[in-house]
Amino acid sequence: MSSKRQNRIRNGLIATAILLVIGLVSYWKSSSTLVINFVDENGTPVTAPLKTIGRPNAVYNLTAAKVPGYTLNRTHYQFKYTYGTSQQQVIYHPDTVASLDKLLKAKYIGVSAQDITTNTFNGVQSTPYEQSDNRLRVLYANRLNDWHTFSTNYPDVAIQDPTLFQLGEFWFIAYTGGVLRSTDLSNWDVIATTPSPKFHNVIAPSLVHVGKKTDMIFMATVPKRKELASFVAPFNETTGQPKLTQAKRIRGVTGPSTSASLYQGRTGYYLTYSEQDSGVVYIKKSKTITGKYRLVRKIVPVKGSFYYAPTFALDEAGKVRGIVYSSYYYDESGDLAYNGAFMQSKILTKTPPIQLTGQFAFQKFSVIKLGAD
Amino acid sequence: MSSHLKHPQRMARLSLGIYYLGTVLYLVYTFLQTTLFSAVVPNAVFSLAKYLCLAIFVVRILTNRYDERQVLLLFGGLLLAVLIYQNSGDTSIVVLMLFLLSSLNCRSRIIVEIYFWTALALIAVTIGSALVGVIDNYHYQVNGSVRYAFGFLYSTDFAAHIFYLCLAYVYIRGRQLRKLEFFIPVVLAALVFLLTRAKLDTALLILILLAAMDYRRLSNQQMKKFDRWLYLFPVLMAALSIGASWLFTPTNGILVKIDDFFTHRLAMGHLALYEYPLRWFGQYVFQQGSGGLTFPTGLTTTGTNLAYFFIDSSYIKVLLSFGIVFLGLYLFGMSHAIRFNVAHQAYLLPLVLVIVCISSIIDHHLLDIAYNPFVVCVLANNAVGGVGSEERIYHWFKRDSR
Amino acid sequence: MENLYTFFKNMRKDWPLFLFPIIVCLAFASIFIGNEQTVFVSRIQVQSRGDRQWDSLSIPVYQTILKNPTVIRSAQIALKKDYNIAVSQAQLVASVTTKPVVHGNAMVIAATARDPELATAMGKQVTASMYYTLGTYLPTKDLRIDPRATVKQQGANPVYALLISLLSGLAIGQGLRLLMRRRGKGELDV
Repeated sequence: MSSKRQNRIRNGLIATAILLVIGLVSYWKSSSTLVINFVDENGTPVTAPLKTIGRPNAVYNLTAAKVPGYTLNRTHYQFKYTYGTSQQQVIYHPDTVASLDKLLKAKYIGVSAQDITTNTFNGVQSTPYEQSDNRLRVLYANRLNDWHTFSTNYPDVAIQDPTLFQLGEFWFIAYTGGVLRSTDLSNWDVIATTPSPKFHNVIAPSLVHVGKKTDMIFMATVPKRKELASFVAPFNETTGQPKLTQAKRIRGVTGPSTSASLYQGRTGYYLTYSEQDSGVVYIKKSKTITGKYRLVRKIVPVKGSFYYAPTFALDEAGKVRGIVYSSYYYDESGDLAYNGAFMQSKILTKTPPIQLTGQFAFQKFSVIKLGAD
Repeated sequence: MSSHLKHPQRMARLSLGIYYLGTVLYLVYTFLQTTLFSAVVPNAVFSLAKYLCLAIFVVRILTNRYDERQVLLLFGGLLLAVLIYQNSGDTSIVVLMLFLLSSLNCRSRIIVEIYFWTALALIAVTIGSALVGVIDNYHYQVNGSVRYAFGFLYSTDFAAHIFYLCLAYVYIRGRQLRKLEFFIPVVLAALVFLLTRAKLDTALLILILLAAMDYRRLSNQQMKKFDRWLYLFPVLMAALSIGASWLFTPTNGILVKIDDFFTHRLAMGHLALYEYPLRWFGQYVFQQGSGGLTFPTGLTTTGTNLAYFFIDSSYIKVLLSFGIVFLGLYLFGMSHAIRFNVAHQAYLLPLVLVIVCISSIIDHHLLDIAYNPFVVCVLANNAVGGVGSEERIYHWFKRDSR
Repeated sequence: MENLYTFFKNMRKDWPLFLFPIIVCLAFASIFIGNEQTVFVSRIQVQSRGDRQWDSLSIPVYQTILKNPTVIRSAQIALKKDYNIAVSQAQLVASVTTKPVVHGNAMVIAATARDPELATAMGKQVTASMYYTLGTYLPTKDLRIDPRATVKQQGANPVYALLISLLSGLAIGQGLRLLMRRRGKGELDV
C-alpha cells in the first residue's frame, strides 16, 4: 500500500519536474517583438520605427531621440514586451508656425520622399526590405548643401517621386498615384488620380506651366506594350485631375526610363530623363512639347552609381535655375542605397555639382527657388 | 496475412532473421564509412545500403509482434524520428531509430555477438588491406611520435574500434572469462598506445580490465551496494560532460588544465554549445576534423584557432544534433537498462554500460552502431544471461511483478 | 501480442480513442502551418584571388568566425544605426546560424525572426559584418555576397504536420487505451 503511494508521489514529482523544465526552457526561449513607431499628429512616421526583441513581460526603456522642429510631451517611455509582435507609438508634435516662418524666408524650397523603413547613416540610406515605404518631406534651405526638413503633420500616404509646383496660393505636389494640394503645407488635399481605360497607372507625374495653362507630364505603360513612355496631358487645377483622354505621347525618350521632366524655355521645350540601365541623365530639346526631342547634353554618373529622376529647378517666374538629380548605388549586400541628390546650376554647360544634404538621404528631389537673387 | 497468423512461431523467427540480416548490413556499411574504404567504394553504394537497411527494418517492424506498451513505444519512436529528421535533415537518425525500434523483442546479447564477429572480421580486413596497400595507411607525426590509423580515417577511430571490440568480447564471455584472457586488454592497451598514442582510449582499455576483474571478484552481495546509484550513472556522466564544457573558460587555470588533459575536448564542447542553440529536436551540426593532429584549438587564452571543429563528447553531439528530448529519452533508456539488470542481479551489462558512459565523455560513438553495439540495450530485450535463464524474457518497460 | 496489421484491425473497436487525439493534434498543427517565422538566407562566396579556386575546404573554418564577438558587435551597432533595430548580442547570436554549402564555395547565413523585416535586417547586417571581417582576415581571397538572398516563411510543412499529428494521435490513443484497460483491471486503484 505504502509502496504504491510512494510510486504515485514519485511519478507525480517526475511529471512536475518535466513540466517545470519544459516551462522554463520555453520561457527562456520565447521572444517577442516590440515595434515603436515615431509618428507626427497625423500618424505619419517621422523616422524609422524602432524594432527590438525581448522576453515577454520585460520592459524596454526608451529615450526618444530629438527630432529638430518637433517637440515631445515626454522623452522617457517604458514599453512592455508582450507575446508576439506589439506596436507602440511615440507622437512628435511639430512646431509648424516657427518652421513655416523659416520656410517662407528661405531661398530654396523643395520636396522629396523619405524612406521610413531605415535610417540614413553618413548620408547613405539603403533599402534592405522587399518593400520600402516613403513619406513626403518638404524642405527648405538658404544654402544648397544645408537643407532643413519642414516640420509639419505630413499626410500618411505612401509618396514616391514627388514634384513641387506653385500655382497662385496653392502648392501642388504630384506623386505616383495622385496629387497633394495645400495652401499652408500643413493641411493637405489628397487627390488620387482616377485611372482611364488607356492609362491604369500614372507614374512619376510632374506639373509644368505651358503658356497660361498647366500640363501634367507623366510616365505610363504604352497601351498594348509593356514599356514605359512619357506623356503630356492637360491638368485641371480645381479638380486636381489630369485629362487623360487628351494625353499625347512625348517622343524622344529612348531607353527604359521611369521618370521625365520638362519645362518651357524661351526658345523651346527642354526635357530631361535618366536611362535606367546606365544611370546617365539626358537633357534634350525640341520646338514642340511632344517632340521629337534631340540631345543637348549628357550627365554621366560616377562609376558604380546611377543617377535618376532628374528635374529642372525653376524659380517663381518659371525661369530655369538648374538641374537636380538623385543618385543611388548597390551596396555590398546588393541593396539599393540612396546617397543623395545633386544640383548643377546650368543645364546646357557643365558646372560643378553641389550635393544637396539634409537630415536624410534624398530620393527624387524637386526644387523651386524662392524670391529674387 | 492470414497464412502468417497460422504460423506465428515461424513468422517470428523469420522476422528476427530479417532483423539480423539488416543489422549485419547496417554494421558493415557504417563500419566501412569509418575506414578509408569510404574513399574507394562509391558513395552510391553506401546510399543504396542505407535504403536497403531502411527497407529491411520497415519489414521487421511490420512483421514484429508487440504488446500494448510496445505499440505505444513504436509510435512514440517513429514520431521522434520524424520530428528530429524534420529539424535536422539528418537521415542517419531515421535509420538508427528504425534499428532501435526493430530491436524490440530481440535479444541484445545476440546483436552484440553479431557485432563482435562482424567487427572482428572487418577490422581484420581493414588492417590487412592497409598493410597490403589496398587502402592507405595514414600515419601522423605528432610531437616526434608516429600515430598509425591502419586504414581507418583517424588513429583514434582505430583505437575506439579496438576498445568497443574488447568491451563486446568481455560482455559475451561474461562469467566464462578466464584469467588468461585478462591479458587481452593489457596487450591491446599497450599496442594501441604504442601505435596510436591515444592515451584516453588506452586508459579506457585498462578500465575494461578493471571492470572485468571486479566483476569476477565481487560477490553479488558486494555489488548490491551499487544498486542505489548505478542507474544514475548515464545522467551523471552526461551532466558532467555538458556541464564542464558549458562552464569552460579559457582564463580559468583549473579548467584549462583539465582541458589540456582531455586534449581540448572541453574547449571544443564549449565552442559547440556557443555555436549552436539547444533545440528540442536537434539541428544540422557541421563538423570538421583534422585527423588526430593535436594543436591548440577553439577558445584558448592566446586567441582562437578554428581550423578544427569536432564535437568529441557524445552527449554534446547528441544534445545538439538530435535535441534535448532524444538525449533525455536515451539516457532514461540506458538508466532503465542498468536498473533493470541490477534488479535482477545481473551486473555485467550495467558495468559495460557504465564504461560506455564514461567513454562517451571523450569520444563521439555513443550512437554509432559501427562502434557501439550496446546502443540496442535501450529498447532490446536485455534478458539476464547465464545458463538456464535463457528463456526468461524480461523487458525493460514490462512492469516487474514486485 | 499483436503485430501492426492486427493492431490497426483491432483499432476499430476503440476508434474514438484514436480519432479524437488525431483530430486535436491536426487542429493544433494547423496553428503552425504557414505562419510561424521568417528565415532570411544569404550567402558569402570565397574564392582564391590568383587561381580562382574554390575554397570549399576552409569554408567551415570561416563559418566559425560568424559568431566571433567582433562580427556580432559590429552587426549590433550597425543594426541600431542603419535600421533602428535594437537587439542584444545574445539575441543576435541566437537568431543567426550558418552552414556551408556542401561541395561549394559559399557559406550560408540564415537569420530567423518572427518579424520578416527583423529577419531580413539581421541577416543582411550580420552578412555584411561577416563580409568585412572575413575580408580583413583573408586579404588573398575574393569575397562576394551572393545577391540572390531568399526570404521564406518557416512554418510546418503540411506533410510533416500530417505525419506528426497522425503519429502523436496514435500514440496518445494507445496511451489512453492502456490506461483504460489498466483501470478496468483495477490496477490503478489504491
